[in-house]
Amino acid sequence: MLAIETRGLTKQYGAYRALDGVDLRVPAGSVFGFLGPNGAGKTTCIRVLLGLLRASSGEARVLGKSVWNDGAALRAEIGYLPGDVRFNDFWTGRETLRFLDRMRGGRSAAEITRLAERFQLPLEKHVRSYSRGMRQKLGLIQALMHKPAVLILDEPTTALDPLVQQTLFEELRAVAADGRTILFSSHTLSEVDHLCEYVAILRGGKLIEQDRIEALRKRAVRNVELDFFDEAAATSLRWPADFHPGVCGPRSLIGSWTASPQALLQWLATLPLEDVRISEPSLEDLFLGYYDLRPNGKPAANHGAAA
Amino acid sequence: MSLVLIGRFFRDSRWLGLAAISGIFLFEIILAKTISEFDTSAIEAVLKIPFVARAWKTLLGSDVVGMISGTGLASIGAAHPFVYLVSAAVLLSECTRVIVGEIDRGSADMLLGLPTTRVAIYLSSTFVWMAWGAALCLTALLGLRIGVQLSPLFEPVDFPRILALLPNMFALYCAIGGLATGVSAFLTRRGRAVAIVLAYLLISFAVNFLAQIWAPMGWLARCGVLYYYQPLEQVKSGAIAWDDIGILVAIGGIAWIAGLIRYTTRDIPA
Repeated sequence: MLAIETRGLTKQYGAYRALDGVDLRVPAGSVFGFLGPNGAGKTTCIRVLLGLLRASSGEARVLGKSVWNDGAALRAEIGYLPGDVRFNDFWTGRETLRFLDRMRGGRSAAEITRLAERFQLPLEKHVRSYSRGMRQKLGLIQALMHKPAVLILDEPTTALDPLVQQTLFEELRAVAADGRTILFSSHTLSEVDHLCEYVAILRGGKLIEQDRIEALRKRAVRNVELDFFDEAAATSLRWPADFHPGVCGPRSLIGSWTASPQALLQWLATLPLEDVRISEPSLEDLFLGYYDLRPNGKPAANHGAAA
Repeated sequence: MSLVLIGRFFRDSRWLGLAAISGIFLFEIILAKTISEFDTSAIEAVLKIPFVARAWKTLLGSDVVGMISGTGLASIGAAHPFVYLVSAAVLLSECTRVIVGEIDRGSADMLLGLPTTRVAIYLSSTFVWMAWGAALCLTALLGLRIGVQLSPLFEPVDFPRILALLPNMFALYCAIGGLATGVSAFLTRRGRAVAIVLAYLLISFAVNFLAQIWAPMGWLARCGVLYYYQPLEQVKSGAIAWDDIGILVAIGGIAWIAGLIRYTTRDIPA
């Protein structure tokens, strides 16, 4: 079952297309990383899911309900942290949370206390006296406090120190263990790698990839480090089109392999190698691969000399 | 509508609203005291000079010759520029605070991310500014009543006649409030919404003023909301100006409905 599903979601601003036929599929109960650099369309997509923006075309459903037609009922089941969270400066943290709780039915008093202690946020202070990080904590507490079925977090670790980030990750893991869904938008790849099992990558308003991170790794380029017995072997090497050389040393060569592991092993067997190291790419490698090696979402032409 | 939202909006506006109510209340008491000290025979004598009579007509929007009665003078308290100014300040602040103010402050995401509808937000916001408008209207008349009681005028004031101004006064508030709310729904900057409505009111006031001394401006004055609120004329006739009330409600209502349609379908920018 899908917690979030969009079909052909498009958002057009005049001639500019902020979202271009996005088909996002977030499985229920998953922790789903939503990746892309600034301006890729992540926040636009999230704002459509919240009913803050109206899609130019296409459809968006959360928990099976239309985000536009069933918005009010749906938002009771969503916890949302905006990318740039703002509150009424003249209220205290407690007043802010009490108001939000009352709007959601008033059942979160105990959870508010627990989360405030967990994030060490002084609720009696006015919001105007909060630092940027404290405001972010307040935003996180309000998103988590009613135990929503779907959590949509737009760059939640912004302004949080590493200790609070760890607390947040622990809370999010508890949410995931509870079978609830998290859509986690970020451009910090390490935290998505650390937390998420699924990932979607947006570029220029288009969804260019979505799958389990493990599946992406298996499908993706591998980092290959080759050490040769002598310099002559290294310098005379000719490589297949699926190998993309990077750093070269006198007797070594580091590059990436974009074809199947079997083809890589066949090629390596023909080389006079002293040592070889093959590693799975990090999420960062994957992400950069999508941005650098696959312009327009398609595999790029290989730059290496043909074997 | 949502009671929780209404509570929040009242809370956010309470200091401005209470300050305006106190200000108008005090003003009416001071006005009554000032009027009670008028030398009416001297005023009547001065008003016999055509130039002075015309100047007063221009300022008050009505022919004041023959109106030097307790009720006539007391009705100034319902049309004094101070009352207009304070009321307009409250209305412009309240009508724009939520609809465009939340977008401008960047806090609209939190409000619209809650399990409520935009219609409920719009209606709750409208309820609050209407309630403040009603409170301000009643305060003006109540302040006048108490002021006259504390400082009796040279003759008794016919208060039922002054009370009959209330529907027209409230209709004027609704027209301004409807316009301000409607304009807010189309914009993303609160200051711009306030500026547009304020400019319209000032032009309306100026045109209304000029129409008293230059007849060709009369048709243009009809485009301004202030044209449809003439308390001195009303006190003179003693009748409720239903036509004016209808026009004011229509102006405010059309702007308000246009705003509602826009607000419920618009994009909320980040």
